[in-house]
Amino acid sequence: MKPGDDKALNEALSRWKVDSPLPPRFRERVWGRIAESEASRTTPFGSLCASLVSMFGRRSFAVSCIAILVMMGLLVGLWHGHSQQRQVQALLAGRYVQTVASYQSLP
Amino acid sequence: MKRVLVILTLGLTLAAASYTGGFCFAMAPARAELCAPVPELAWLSREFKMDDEQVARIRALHEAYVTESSQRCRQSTSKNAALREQIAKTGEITPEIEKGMNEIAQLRAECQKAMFRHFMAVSRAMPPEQGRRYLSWVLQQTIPCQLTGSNAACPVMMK
Repeated sequence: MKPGDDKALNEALSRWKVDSPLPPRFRERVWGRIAESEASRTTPFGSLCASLVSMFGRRSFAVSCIAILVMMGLLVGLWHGHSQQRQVQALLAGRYVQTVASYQSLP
Repeated sequence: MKRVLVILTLGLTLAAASYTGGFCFAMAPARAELCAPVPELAWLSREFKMDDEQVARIRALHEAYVTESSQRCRQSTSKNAALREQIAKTGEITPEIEKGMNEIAQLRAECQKAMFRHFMAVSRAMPPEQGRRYLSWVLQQTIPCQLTGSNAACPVMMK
């Protein structure tokens, strides 16, 4: 038998009325329990995402984040450029010495 | 979530752009030196803070010295080759081979003398303080470290 096939039961159910009043703040408590169960099911990654979304929702946080990334990029670029510059300096100094003291490299 | 991704993408793109800017800014002097006709002279003029007139004088000294030095190097190479051949042929030190060895030693001494004379001339063409600094640096780089008595003075050749 499939659910809904029993005519007598269907009639009884349609006639059935609940007369007792709902307990106070029933709706609010139901939603609260739903929220609680959803929160307990969230993974650490999910909660991280949720907190990220809420943080990036604030304009000041987003602007600070971009500013920090730009500053970091600039500092790393300058540092890397300076270290490359030092290497080029050492290379050219070595080339100068090799040019002026070329006889030293003869057998 | 989409907003977070947009902000992070924008931040990372701007960070990459600022990295490139910082790198190019810091590398600008080295790039200018590498693009110069004689990069090592461009380096020398920047390192020892020379003006255009001093650079021109040093360039002339350098070119004259390099031409003269390469002639001596060719002479030395051919004398060495001849000596190798003679030694291989005779298998002993003949008076002729001894003469060849002396000639090579003399040529090397001449090369060294010319090199030091060149260093003096270059140092005199620089501002006095820079000239002293140049002379001290170049001698450390070219005189074998056991003679200067300091390990720190050993020449460091870049690979």
